[in-house]
Amino acid sequence: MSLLRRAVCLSALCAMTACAGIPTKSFEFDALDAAEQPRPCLIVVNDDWVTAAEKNQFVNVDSDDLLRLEIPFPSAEIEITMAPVMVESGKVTRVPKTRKEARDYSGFMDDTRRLKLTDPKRQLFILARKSGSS
Amino acid sequence: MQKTTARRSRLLLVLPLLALPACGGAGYVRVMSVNPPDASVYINGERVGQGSSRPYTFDFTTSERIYVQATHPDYQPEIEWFTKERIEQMVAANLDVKITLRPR
Repeated sequence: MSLLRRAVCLSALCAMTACAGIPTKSFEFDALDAAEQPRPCLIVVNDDWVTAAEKNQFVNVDSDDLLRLEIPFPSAEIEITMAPVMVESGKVTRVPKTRKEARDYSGFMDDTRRLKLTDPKRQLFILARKSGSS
Repeated sequence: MQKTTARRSRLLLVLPLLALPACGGAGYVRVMSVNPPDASVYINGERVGQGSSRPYTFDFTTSERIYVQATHPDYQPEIEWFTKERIEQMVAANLDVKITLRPR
């Protein structure tokens, strides 16, 4: 193979790799409690609680809705934490920074799920009540 | 010679037909049941009804995994993930999908 042809092939490969980048997928997140009522939650990607709060990644706070998020997949799996929050008059009373804080102040258990790029677009979490809470 | 050609043509027609079920285009049907039977069942986040036994088609054309959730106000919610391989093993062993909820 000539030097020129080899250089052209190499550049094409480099260009393809650069264009591919990190794959992303749009997911729809929703949360219910065991009685199938909408449950207000903060959606945390890869344990990044700061970004979740900054970007207002909440669901079911104002009304029964869902949250669409474009999730990058730098690795084969990403971790989603559905952290329950307390809401009063359509406002989150306290934004949790840890799973424990979410559990302690909401009366519900948090839930964690590892998602793959090829998983279903709609991701529903059903949260259990903390034992001892009514 | 003519007989051989006709046989070959017939074979060419039959082969794609044999390949169709192998592709699993229509998915895999499994009977699914949940205990207690009045628990609600969700598949890939969509409510499909209550837990009494019913056949369900597991279709992996849009995702590589399918998740089944069951919930009831008096029980702990449960989730189970199914891959094509897991369902194929269940089909081979003639096993149904059964989810039993634990009381709260």
